[in-house]
Amino acid sequence: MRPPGNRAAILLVALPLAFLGVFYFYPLFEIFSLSLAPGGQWDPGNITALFSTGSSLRILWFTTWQAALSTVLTVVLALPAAYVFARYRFPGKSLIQSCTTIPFVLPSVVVAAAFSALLGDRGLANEWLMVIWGFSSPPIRLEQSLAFILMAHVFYNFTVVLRIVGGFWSRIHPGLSHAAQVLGASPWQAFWKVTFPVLRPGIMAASLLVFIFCFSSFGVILILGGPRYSTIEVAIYRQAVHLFNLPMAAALSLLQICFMFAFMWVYTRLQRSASVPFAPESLKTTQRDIVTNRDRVVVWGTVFLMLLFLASPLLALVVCSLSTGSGVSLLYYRAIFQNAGQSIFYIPPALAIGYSVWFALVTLVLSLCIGLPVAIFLSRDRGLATSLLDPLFMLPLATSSVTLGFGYIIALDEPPLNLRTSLLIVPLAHTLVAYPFVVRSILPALRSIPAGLRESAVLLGAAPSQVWWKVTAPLIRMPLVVGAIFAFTVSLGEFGATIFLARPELPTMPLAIYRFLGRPGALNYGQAMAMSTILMIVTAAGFLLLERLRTGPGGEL
Amino acid sequence: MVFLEARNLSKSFGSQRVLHRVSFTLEQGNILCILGPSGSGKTTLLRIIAGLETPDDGSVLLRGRDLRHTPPHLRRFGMMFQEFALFPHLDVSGNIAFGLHMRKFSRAEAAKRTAEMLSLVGLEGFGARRIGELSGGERQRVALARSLAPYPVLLLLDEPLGSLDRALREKLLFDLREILRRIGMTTIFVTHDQAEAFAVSDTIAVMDRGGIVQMDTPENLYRNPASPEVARFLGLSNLIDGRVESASSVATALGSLIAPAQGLAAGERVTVLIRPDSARIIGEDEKPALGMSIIEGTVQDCLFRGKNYHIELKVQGGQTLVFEVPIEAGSPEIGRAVRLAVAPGSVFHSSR
Repeated sequence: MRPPGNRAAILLVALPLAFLGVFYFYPLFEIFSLSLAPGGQWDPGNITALFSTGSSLRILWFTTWQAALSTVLTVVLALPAAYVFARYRFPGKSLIQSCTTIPFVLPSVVVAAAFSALLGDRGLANEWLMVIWGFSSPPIRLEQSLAFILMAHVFYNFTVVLRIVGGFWSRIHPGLSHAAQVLGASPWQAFWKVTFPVLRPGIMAASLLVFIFCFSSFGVILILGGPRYSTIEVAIYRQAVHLFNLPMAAALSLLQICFMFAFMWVYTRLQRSASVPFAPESLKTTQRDIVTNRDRVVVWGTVFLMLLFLASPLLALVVCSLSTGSGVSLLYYRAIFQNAGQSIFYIPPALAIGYSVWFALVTLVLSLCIGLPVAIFLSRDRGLATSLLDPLFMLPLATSSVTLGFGYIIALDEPPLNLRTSLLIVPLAHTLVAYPFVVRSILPALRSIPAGLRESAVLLGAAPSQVWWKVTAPLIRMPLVVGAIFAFTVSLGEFGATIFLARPELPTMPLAIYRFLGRPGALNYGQAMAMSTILMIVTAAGFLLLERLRTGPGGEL
Repeated sequence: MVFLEARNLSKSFGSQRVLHRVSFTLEQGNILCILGPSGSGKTTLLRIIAGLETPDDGSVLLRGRDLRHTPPHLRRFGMMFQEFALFPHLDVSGNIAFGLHMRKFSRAEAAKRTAEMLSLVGLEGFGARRIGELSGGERQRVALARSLAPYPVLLLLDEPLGSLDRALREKLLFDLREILRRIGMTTIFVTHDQAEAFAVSDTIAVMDRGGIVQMDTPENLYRNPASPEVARFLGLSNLIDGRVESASSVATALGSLIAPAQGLAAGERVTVLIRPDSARIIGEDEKPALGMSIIEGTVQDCLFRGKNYHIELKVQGGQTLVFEVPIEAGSPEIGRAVRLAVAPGSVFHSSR
């Protein structure tokens, strides 16, 4: 159904388009011009330098192979769990699946803090080993090692493989593997000759997604890797903030943008082939109950190991936040709310919580203001405009937040748009990251409303505005709430862009955690743990609420 | 020597008993049909023979050799699955040749055998098709060709026509029987459809609640069902309770019926089966032929079936019986009282 007039449709997308132009394409353009023409003159020197100097080649190489290695590890470790979730019904399954997704939605800073709490030099494992075995120094030395980064990446992306591959697997008839065995294939051959090839599109899609996430990993590498390890993202940050080499940072950003767009393009192509397996089977025929002892060992053993891996860093975080030199206490939590003399911010750290919530609320409102009109526009018009504008509005998803933050500081720092000192710059950046989620949660609901519903309302005498308020709005209320929660939690945990944009005296929670972690002393470390715990609980609670709304009545995504 | 023997097979899933001490034998070249309602354990039995499930107790013997430690891929059986389980990533030829590659046939041999199989099932020229492009009937043929290609010693068919529509089923049933007879394949065929079972098999084993309740040739099975349950499952539903009067009659709510009750003491409780066919409407005063009983009732419903009328008759005692009566006598009016002459049926001891 087309809207009454094209003018209304144009008005609808005018604001979102203007927003996208000023706060996305303009910074992107500035990155292009700074990297390709630093002095106003065409000069690709920085780009050629990227591929001729050893240090930048090393960064590129490290970015790629750590992402590849992380991906392979994630797939290999998550595949058994994907099998169990695809082939068995067991009590608590959907809750367990929801819980495995929590690491994925946690801010990268919290994940880094959690691994530090479990396996870092000051972490629980080392502490216990030193107490029990009497080591004089921490026996586990993982800080600033590649292993630490890889573990955090697997932890982060486990659920991506579990969900995509598990979902794909659950639609494949188990008879395929049995048929292969009766035809003479050993169980091993049956897996490699039949199950794996059939599963391949799902594995490819999941792998590419994990690869993209690890390729653009920033917080985890910055915090856990230390100065030795640098991905393109980390290099952009160091060039811009530590070395003030803006043209170099711009060149790296350009490189990162090109990579990300290329990966995303491949991913959308792959996803099309991976979304529906051949002749999907109903879950009734592909899943079975736990019956034999072997089933019991396979299912509960896998679930136990998986939960052990996914929960222990988060538990360690909570334990570390509560255990002080003088036993269990809320010391670190109280410290957050005090303005101690030696405080590194000159303000009570609790204010960071306040700023975060404030930014998140503004982001929520802005995201709805941008996302809702876009969703309405895309749901109504099915012509050329939609097919062009839909991917256009999703572009920010394919742009790393570090390049975004960097683009903002080079683009929005001079009149007429000098927002460097504006309080709005942080929520504006967050909105760019968050509004695609709002669109994606509302659009399916809008599209699923049959045209007949609106038409019959019109025939019953409802004016267009009444149709909107009486019919459409109530039907998309739930997806709207889901989108709002999404925007809120994305903003709360955002780190890559914020680290460029937030003023030193107005830190957000992730920034405060990052700074606490970088300071010596038990009190700073404890406060990092305490604040991470708060952020973790808020994010996890928001996510679980979201899951309930999505699967509950009226919600779908 | 007995070709295949199942000895005392038992299997439970958790607390649910699926098979209980199932035994049977099968001669080479014969087609055995396992017939039973869903949940009777017939698919589990087939999967145990294939080696896809392990029995809790009992064993499967092939030419006297216990298969307990032979995994499915070394048994050299062919199996056709309910949903065909064709490999979606391979084309038709790839599917048919899969077993040949697994059994290390040379490329040339595999190609020759694949072509042979394609022509056996009437799919010449389909080799390069993707599985997704095939119709249901074509998939069924590919599945059959795939299971026959690697020269299996025994073919297992699990509801091979179950997922097809009715018209297609009848045609493919005919083809299937033709192909199996032509190559003399020893076959076990699992189905819940008695028409399929009667059409294809040399022997039928009727399964109910995890056990074989009767095993015989299709003719004998239909003539002499061993229990009211088997009769009901074969579509014979006219079962009436009564007491033995003499060696040739049973007293029921419908009156005295002529029935073979030799060897049963007078007064014993029995169930009598009256066959729906071989019934005939007779006039008011007409005497039935020798050995026929008379049943009176009201016509509840009457369907014209082409060859005969299918009537539902409400009889004394309130039971509704079904009969197929010849069309020559004209259409029985609904609501009219009629007299039927029926042949003596079977008598089941109702000790249980």
